[in-house]
Amino acid sequence: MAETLLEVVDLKKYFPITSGLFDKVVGYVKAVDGVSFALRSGECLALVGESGSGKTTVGRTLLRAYQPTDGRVSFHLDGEAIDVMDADEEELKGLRRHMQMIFQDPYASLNPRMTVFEIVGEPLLVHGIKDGAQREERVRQLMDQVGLNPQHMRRYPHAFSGGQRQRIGIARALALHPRMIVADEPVSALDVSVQAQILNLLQNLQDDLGLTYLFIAHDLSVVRHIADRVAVMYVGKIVEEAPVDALFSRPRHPYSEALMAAAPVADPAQRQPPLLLQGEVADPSNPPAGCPFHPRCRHATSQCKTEVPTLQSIETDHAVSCHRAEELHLSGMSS
Amino acid sequence: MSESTTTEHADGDDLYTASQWQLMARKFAKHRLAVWSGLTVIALYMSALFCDFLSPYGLEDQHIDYIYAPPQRLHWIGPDGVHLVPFVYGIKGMRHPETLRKVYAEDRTQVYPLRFFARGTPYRFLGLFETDRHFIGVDRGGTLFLLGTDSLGRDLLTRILYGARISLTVGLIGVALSFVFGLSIGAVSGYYGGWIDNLIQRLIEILRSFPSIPLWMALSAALPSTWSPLQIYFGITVVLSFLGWTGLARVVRGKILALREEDYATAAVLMGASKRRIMGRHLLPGFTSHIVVSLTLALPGMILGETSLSFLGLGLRSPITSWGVLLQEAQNVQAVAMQPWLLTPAVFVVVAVLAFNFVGDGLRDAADPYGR
Amino acid sequence: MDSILTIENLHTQFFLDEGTVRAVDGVNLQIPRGKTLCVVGESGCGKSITAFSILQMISRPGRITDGSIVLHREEGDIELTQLPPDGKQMRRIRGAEVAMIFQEPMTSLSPVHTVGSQIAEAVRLHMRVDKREARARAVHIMERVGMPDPEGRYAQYPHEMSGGLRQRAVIAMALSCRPQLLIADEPTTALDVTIQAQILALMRELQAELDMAILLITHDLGVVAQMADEVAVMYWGRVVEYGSVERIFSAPQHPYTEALLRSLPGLHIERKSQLQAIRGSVPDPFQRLDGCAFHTRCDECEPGLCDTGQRPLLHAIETGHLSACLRRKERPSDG
Repeated sequence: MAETLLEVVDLKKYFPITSGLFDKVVGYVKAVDGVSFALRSGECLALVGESGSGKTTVGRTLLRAYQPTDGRVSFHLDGEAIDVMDADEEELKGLRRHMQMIFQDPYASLNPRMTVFEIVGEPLLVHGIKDGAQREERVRQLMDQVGLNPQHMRRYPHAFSGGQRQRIGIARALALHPRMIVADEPVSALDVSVQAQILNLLQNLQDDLGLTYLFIAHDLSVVRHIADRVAVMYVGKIVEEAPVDALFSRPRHPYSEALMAAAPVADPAQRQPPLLLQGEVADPSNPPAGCPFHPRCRHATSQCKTEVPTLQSIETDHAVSCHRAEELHLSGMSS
Repeated sequence: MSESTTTEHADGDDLYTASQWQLMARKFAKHRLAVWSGLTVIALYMSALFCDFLSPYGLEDQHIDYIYAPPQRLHWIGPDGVHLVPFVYGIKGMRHPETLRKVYAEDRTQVYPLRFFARGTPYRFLGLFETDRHFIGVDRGGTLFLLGTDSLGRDLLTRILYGARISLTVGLIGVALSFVFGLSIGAVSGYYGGWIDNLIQRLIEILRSFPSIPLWMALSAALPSTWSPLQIYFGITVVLSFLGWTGLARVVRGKILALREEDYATAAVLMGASKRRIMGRHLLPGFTSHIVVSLTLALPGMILGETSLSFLGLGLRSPITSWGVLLQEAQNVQAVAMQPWLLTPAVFVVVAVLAFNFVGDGLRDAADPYGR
Repeated sequence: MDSILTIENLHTQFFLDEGTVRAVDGVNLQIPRGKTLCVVGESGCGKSITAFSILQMISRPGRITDGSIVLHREEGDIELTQLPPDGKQMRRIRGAEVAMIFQEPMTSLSPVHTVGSQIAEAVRLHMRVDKREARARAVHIMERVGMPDPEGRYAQYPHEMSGGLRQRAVIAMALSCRPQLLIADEPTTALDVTIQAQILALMRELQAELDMAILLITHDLGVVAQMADEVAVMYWGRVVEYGSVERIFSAPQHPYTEALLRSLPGLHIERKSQLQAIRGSVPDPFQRLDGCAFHTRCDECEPGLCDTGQRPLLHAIETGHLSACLRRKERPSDG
């Protein structure tokens, strides 16, 4: 088994809800509420869930774009574990070389007032490569690597299509030779025909550069295609974690099953069975007692309403957070 | 899999490599009214700058024989046929036999052609050298009161041009100071947030609740009486600028709060960029165009402020000449009825304010070339 | 085919400073009565503009420049493009006979009125009932569209509801007058998959109940496969293929449709393999292209045939299956 690159232990991120004249804190949105997982070197781990599940917050918090409320994140570099959460400014800047991010929205993620050269070259500049010619050479190389014409480096983002902009964002993330990339819904804002281009690019880059991905997504067919392992999140917690094949052939959490059943299959011969899931995603500022999924779960018992389940290993590499995981027989995506 | 089929626009690569300001300039140029207004604004400031050259007389030149003389018309056709250069007739004042008021009539026997670069009252051109050349004038013996004269027989056109100098500039320092305060305090409030933000927001709310005219009255009474009226006015605008920054500070704070959440700002954080760099390279450029717009829209406020406060007797006073002072002198019904030309400074105020507003509108439309 | 609406040679253009965008460039469509027609295509293909054109909701600088849209009613046909867009007749048709729902439900809900009062208002606008009756009907409709506790929700404001509930409210409003045609523009794109499944199921149920036609605009081929009876594939302002959902998915007759389907990751594709992306991106909207608009990205493009002359029109490949591919002319059936 590959060595661990990143270890996340009991990560929590609460956003305060304030009200009144002096911003009195009246409650918390528990966006991430005790998430633990390990990212192995060279793999692609997908974080799947609906809006409000906290998947995006996990990605941003472990990169310290948000200050975490609690938890430990350690990054393993050359046999040494570096604590990401306690790193000071200087250490953090060093770490940022190795951990980068690709964003969902190719329009919001590029500063419209900077040229491609300035955007892709900025990480180089920030990390001390002041020489213009040297930077230009690296930008040229990066643009080539992501399938953009280097001659267009003096253009502004408005000159590019959504897919090309996403490539610019990828080039920026690659500039400092990172080990790990958090890809936050990198294809969900793109058109179908362009989605495949970007997925191919991400896969090729992973193979060529030995990258490790934390791939945040909601589209299960994309996840199934690109990921090695999947962690399913619901209201701030991981409810199931498994290798792709295991999860898709035999999910062990009713929510995973429901997600798969709800995903529209692009085949008119496979029209959806009657609905599995009723109701709305739970409110992360006021999650239900017990298992947060129980109000929507057709298998819920009285135990589920009171006792909070914990993530338990059920097979090798397969963990699930459900009281009835052992007894339920759930169906995955038919093939 | 290379995505290289970038299509070329009609204007080609040019549009793609155009920076924000270039795109903005292009869009502004398409806004006709704004362009003309811009030219008007430039013309107004130029005439303020060169007012001593452009005006036919000196500021204090009094013509005691021509008190409340109405505007003189320029003529092209005289008794001797068509003139190539326009001319004015001489005017003669006489007492009206019944009302005993002085009335003026054209003396058609006296023809004074308009002279360019005519000799007149000496002045220092831009403070550099002494000269007595004026852009327009008439030969000795004639008069050129294109907008009439006031109660002391001073040429109104001359006074309006000199007044522009004061009216268009006296508030600039105040506006500039407000902007410096607004920008920096708003930026601090938006970027650091937390209790600093809270404190600044409460301070803004308190400052915004001060009524400005009573404050102005109190200030003009409080400033040392040894100061000249111009110094007092200047002092007041500076003090008021300490209160006038709040609107901009709020806008800047809001913009920063919004831009901080933009993915490209997060990307800069994640590459390890310094706070200064994020602020200067990613956040500030995001709203410079909006600042330019609000600056243009603040200037008419400054002109109106001068005019209305001077009109109320709270701002500038004679012997200072400004548009507001000129209007204050026309502040009685009789004057308005008998000498309506004394109100022409108001036309200049309206034109200047409208021109600034149209420029501001044009800039606002052009300001966000990406928001289609 | 018995159709409710016939669109012929529709052209809708936007006159911008930068040039003219031919957003809809010669669309021919018939919407079958009581069935679901899905219009599918990538962003900028003109699918939404086609829908907006039907209800004459195109505002400056856009304009319908050519073509006809005929609504077939019991009391006779009516040509919609001839009606004044803000006239009485058009306003009566909007809502009463043809209703529309949007991707973002807030565009059709007023934030300052309660949801219930807005539905009641919609009822009263088109039916002569008094206030109490309208309220009763509104509550009934809210219950019908699956809003839990309709009496309680009646007095709620839109911002107090989740996205899924808001979309249900909008559907309730749209269906309050039993329209014969419902135009749904990406109605589930902003929703989570489990909620999307609920809304799609609701639309199917209501269609059967009200016997109404649905024009469903979407970019998601999965949604198309799950919902459509008939499918129109649009590319760059024109319908390039039309057929039954089974034929479109099993035997597509336009290279663009084929390429779209091939580019999807899914169960039939080996995991981690290269996806068959469509190369390039959609042409610039200001551009003029000779011949078939897809020729710049088509693997089957035949120089001299596909890249010259007028844009090709739809022609029958077999009964009920039309294609605009110049190279599919000689194939009477797909064999």
